[in-house]
Amino acid sequence: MIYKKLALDIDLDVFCFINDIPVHIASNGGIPTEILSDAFENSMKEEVLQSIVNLNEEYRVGVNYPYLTKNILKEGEDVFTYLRTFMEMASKGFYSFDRTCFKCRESWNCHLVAWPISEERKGESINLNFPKFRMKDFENDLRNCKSEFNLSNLNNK
Amino acid sequence: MDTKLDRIALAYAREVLSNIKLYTQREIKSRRGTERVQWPPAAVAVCAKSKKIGKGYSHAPFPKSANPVICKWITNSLGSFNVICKNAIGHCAEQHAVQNLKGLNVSDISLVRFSRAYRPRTGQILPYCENCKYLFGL
Repeated sequence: MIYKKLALDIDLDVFCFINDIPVHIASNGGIPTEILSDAFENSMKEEVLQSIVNLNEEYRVGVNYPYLTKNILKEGEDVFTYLRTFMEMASKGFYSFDRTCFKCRESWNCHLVAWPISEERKGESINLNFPKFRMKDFENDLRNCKSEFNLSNLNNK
Repeated sequence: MDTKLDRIALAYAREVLSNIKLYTQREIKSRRGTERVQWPPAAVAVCAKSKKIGKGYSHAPFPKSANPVICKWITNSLGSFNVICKNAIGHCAEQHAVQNLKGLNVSDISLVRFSRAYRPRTGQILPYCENCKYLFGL
């Protein structure tokens, strides 16, 4: 398992479906939980990277600006630099999350950074073979995850 | 904190990220296999002694380290894995930066200045780990 050796050193783009919604999570050096290990392994595959590169950036994007400026960004940190990769993923149709804590590598407290505004897919739907999870707390809409929440509560679908 | 070094570190963070992206896409096109694909590092850092600058990003140490003497000093100073903090010894961006500082002797370590550590993806400032605080007096 290559990701186990690398996880602490890298900021991997992890892809999965949560409640059937395509999700991107920036790992931020986090050690994957058992349930997330499939998503980690899958996200390191060449064909997955290729399929993400091939997706068109066709969505308008919403940004969790109030939470980021209040809780995440410190003085001297630029919000546009922070948002760049998350907005790219959101424009491709992913709800884009970031792992919050730097110090605790086991913690999977995450916050929503950016999301696609349109519910309808304009072009092709994201029909990719990602691991599928279910999260009861946010059964209705992942956009409710605007404050910190724990991704360890995921269940396999 | 050294503002000039911080600026160099941020520029290096952008460079690392863009290089990895290009490299990844090239590798994907050439279909050489997943083991050659790299991923964004969690941290980058820059250090300097007089006018010499060393840059590093978080990754596993290469078998042939840039500066084997410093590499050995790091290993000897920290003892074994997980004693001070959970970061693996030799993987930190600061430790790579020091090893990439040309002509550095162990006796000069205390004279080395460090930038803050940055997360390349977001430009966020990262806290130094306990290993690096112990090693370099940060």
